[in-house]
Amino acid sequence: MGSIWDALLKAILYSVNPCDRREQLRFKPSHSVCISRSRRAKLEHYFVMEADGAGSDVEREDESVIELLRDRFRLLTISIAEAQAKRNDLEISLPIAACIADLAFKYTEQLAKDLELFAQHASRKSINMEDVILSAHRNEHLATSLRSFGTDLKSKEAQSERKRKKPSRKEDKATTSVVHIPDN
Amino acid sequence: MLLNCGVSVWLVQVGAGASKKNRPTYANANALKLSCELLRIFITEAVQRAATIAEAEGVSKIEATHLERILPQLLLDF
Repeated sequence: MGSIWDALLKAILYSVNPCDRREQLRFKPSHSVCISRSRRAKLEHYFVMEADGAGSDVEREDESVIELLRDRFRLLTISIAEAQAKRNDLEISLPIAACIADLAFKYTEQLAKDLELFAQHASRKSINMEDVILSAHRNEHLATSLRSFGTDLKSKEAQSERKRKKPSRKEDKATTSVVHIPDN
Repeated sequence: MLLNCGVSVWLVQVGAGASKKNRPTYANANALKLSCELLRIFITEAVQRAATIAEAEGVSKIEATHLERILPQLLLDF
């Protein structure tokens, strides 16, 4: 499940992660989409200059990237659906799994649009955790489970921050104790 | 579920529909993880609800008829 998770992270919301940023992010992707920098630049260019109606070859590049993402998304959702069906000791037929995958892809597009609008409405440039929880307001159980998951994430992050800072603090204490040696 | 991500902000370009040209929207790392969880719950719910109908019918395979019966409520919930 872990590899599905980080591959989903890559495929979601038209995210395009160039290979050279992998080290900076300290993220260990097992199946990574390695899209070249020129393609990524063209994709960003297309999205930023959308109102202009950019040139046709840029649109075709963009279409191919979307198709690639759609295929990877389909692969991942089908594996999640198969795993879930296995838990109930049932089989799921392949066209049905593909239907669910396409449905999830369309849902993701709408979700991305909603999140962007929420962030714009709050006059922010980045999408927050609160935006995602807000987009799940239609079902109470869903909202509560997402909220608890969010607080878990935040607490894990705080823990890892504290662990990183602990060794540096211990070194400081060691140096101060060395300094206070009395000389006769 | 173990996550090996130690970054605080992961800049991701969100897609089309930007009203202003000079405003590409970014997404937080935690927001991305939460939306992944949301999508995973979406797929899980769809399969789970279809599975309950298939089990009630006594069939061992999930078919299109099961899916179309759960679809309206699923879309209203999400």
